[in-house]
Amino acid sequence: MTVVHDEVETAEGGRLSTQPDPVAPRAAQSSRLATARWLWRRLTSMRTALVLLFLLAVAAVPGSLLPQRSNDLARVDDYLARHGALARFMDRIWLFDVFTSPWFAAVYLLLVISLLGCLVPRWSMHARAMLRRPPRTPARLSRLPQHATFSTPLPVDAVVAAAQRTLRRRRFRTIVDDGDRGRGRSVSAEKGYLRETGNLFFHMAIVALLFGVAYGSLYGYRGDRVLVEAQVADPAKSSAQALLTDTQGQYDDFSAGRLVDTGNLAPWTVRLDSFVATYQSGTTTPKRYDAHMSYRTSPTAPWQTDDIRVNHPLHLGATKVYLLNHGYAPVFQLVSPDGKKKYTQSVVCPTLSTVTLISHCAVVFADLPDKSPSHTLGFDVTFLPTAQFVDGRPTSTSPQLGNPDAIVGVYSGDLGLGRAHSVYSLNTAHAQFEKTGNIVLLSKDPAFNVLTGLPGGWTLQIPAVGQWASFQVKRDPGKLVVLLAAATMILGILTSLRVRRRRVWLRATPGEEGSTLVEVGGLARTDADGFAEEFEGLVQRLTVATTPSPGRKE
Amino acid sequence: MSALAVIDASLAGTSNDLVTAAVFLYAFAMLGYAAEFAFGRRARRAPLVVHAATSLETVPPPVAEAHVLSEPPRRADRGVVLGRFAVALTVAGWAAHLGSVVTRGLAAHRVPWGNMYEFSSMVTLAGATAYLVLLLNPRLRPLVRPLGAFVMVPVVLTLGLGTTVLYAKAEPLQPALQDYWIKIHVVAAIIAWGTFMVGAVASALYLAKSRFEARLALAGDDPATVDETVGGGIMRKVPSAAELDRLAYRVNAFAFPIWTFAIVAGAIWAERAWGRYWGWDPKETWSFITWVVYAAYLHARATAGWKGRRAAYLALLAFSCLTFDYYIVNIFVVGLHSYAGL
Ligand code: HEM
Repeated sequence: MTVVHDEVETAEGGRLSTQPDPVAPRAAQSSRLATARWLWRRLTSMRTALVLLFLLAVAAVPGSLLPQRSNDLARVDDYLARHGALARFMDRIWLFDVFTSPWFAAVYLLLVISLLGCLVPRWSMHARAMLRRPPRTPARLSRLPQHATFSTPLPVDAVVAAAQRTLRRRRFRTIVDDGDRGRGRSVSAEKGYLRETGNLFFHMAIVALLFGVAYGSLYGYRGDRVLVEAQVADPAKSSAQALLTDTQGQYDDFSAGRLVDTGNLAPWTVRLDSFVATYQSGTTTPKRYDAHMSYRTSPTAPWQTDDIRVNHPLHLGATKVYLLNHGYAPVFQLVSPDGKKKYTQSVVCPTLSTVTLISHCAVVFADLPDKSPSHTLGFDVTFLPTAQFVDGRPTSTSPQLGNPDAIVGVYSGDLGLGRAHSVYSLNTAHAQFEKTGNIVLLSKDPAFNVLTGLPGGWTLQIPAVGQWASFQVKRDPGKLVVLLAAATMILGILTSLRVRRRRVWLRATPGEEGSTLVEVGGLARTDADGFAEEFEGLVQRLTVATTPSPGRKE
Repeated sequence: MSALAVIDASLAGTSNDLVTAAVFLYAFAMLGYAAEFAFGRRARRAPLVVHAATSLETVPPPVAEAHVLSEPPRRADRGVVLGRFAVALTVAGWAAHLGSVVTRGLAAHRVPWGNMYEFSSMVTLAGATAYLVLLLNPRLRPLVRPLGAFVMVPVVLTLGLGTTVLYAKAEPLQPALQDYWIKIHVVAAIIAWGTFMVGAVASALYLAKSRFEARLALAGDDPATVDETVGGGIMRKVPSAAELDRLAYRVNAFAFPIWTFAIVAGAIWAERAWGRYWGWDPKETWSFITWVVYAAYLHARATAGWKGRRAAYLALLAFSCLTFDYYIVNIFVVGLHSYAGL
């Protein structure tokens, strides 16, 4: 490795990288070891890094243009359904799971190996360069790209001392050579070691960042859950609709890293007390959402309150709870003909439109104590927060509860309970359709605000409308490492791109009548742009520093 | 978030008038720079040429520079006057543009970068600012000046497209965008974008000029034949390929850490808003692709056999990725960022 200490030649040869060149295996050396060595050199060469970086970019493209399972499962299913055999083939080569695919992993693992292989020798080279003294003054300074001479009445020793001081102040590392090739005394100076330090930190930080990502995905988990406001949460379910405890079974959707002990998550509980959506006055544009929460960090801890907003999650130790979505949860009440029996449930109505909050849900009352077939009534409900008829068709003109209206389809009989089916729609395949009706919630007229004429004489009403909000619970223990690595990357790259490596030599030889002849030479080891001005300024300073002026103490 | 989110319609109108004025001023500036090429003599040479030879980086054959240098500089000819006029128009356009952005923010009581129109406006403002800042540097001025016409092209196009096709009325921000990270993340992205824009112009010109220089070298003793094409006339007045290459590198290397920061800030914001710092959303993916291709460009500049033209192609590819990230991903690809709004 001739790179660090060789002087002018290498630099002028135009090499910026201190990476050794990949050497082709020599015929005489065709052992396996040599081939392996050659391969390793290739892999850790700058050119390979370039190709791998490019491959990484190309590999990410399909992941952005095709729907991905991790982001949008429904669109992937839709794509598969619509494109048949081609899509199935694409699926087989992981095109819908690009970022977890073996080939994407192969590219970045190769990149990491290449990085490490490239970095380790550079660290040791850099460490040695830091310990080494600046190189000796070349014989002929006039051959350097930058060169200047001047003379001063000061003696040689004073010139050398002043030059050293000036250069040190400009953060050069300096060394004085007293026997300088028998010509006088000289100063060698070098600065900009931080450039390589920054570069190495930047590249190391990339590895650290990937480590943090991997750690987080092995030890982290994510769970989604819909909660209903506590006041309306179903009493039959002892307000469990409003509560979430951090156990796997409580989540609607849960995914955990391979090394998570899912039987032993955090001991906290949260409750949705109320949810408030605020809109720009007179518009359907949302202004803010506030989910007022109660929480306790363990079953014995006292309850505390806090709000969850967009961009403002709730922190529960290392876990955070985020607000994802919201909508209406009407309370449905089925009243017996004599008015004595009442069955109540709050139902989460998923939104069909996030702008107008038109929602749709299914409500089932089973095991009714009457003579209707199978004792089950099912309601297919479309909920309109601000109902209005546009072209004879009902729609909602606002997400707020201006004129709430439920359009209800009534079914009885076998509603497929016990068979796998989405809770948000009715399984009417074997059911009996009874009628369609309408509940105008704010109407005072009993002809409109309850639905009568149901089988068995029951009536349906909606005494209250609550709201639901969906939350994501997330724990990612690798996050801090990732953040620190990212910060290091930015600082490293800034240092590496800003700091410039410069070498300057100054030779002082005795001239006539006790004066001293000063010769300065300069070399930019990286980024020569602007070095001429920099050198000129430095020479100026050196001239000033070696000019005797009675009033100044140097 | 303040309670008064009422839009000040008259201020919003002022903002629209100012941005229209800016588009026209920039367009006239572009014509001015072009006229400088058409009617002016050879551009004055930068002292930089002299120490080009001291660079550690490859120095292309000096034929072209020597040829251009041999032309005696003339002062205050028509071209120079036109050029100065163009710079004045650029500054006027920039002032109107800045005024438009500020009044827009005041009208909507929020940061003026909440939808694609506003983002286009900010990005071109950043690009024009980057150009003017480079002009302020006396050492770089002679090098950057001839780029004026070429910088104004993307500025006028982007801003023109923004004020027409992408235009959106001043409205308050959606809840997801109401966070102080929008300021940090988006401002960094805007600055990086505008700077990369100038870098891309320099890279494109570098490619054209280096080809011109190669042709000039081939033409040997009879360089006049090369001049006869229209492109030749312009190319002669553009800085040397070596200077353009270095300028492109400096500009891109300045923007790269800012872009890195923008991505990191975006990740921090995503963590606050969506519960994960990275999710391979299409917008995130394309920012990543852009970042990687710019990193490849920086590597290429230090790799034998890749510096020069191939590196410049990489820089242009990286800028195309950035443009794709902005227009195509925002408009056509479904993702979490889609709410940025047209
Ligand atoms: C995701 C992966 C990578 C990124 C984002 C990246 C980024 C960068 C950047 C931005 C620079 C510019 C610093 C400068 O111009 O001084 C740089 C320099 C460098 N990179 Fe990388 N790099 C990556 C991977 C690698 C790998 C795998 C290698 C080695 C095989 C490598 C070797 C180098 C070397 C040797 C330099 C210094 C060039 C010089 O001396 O100017 N990089 N890298």
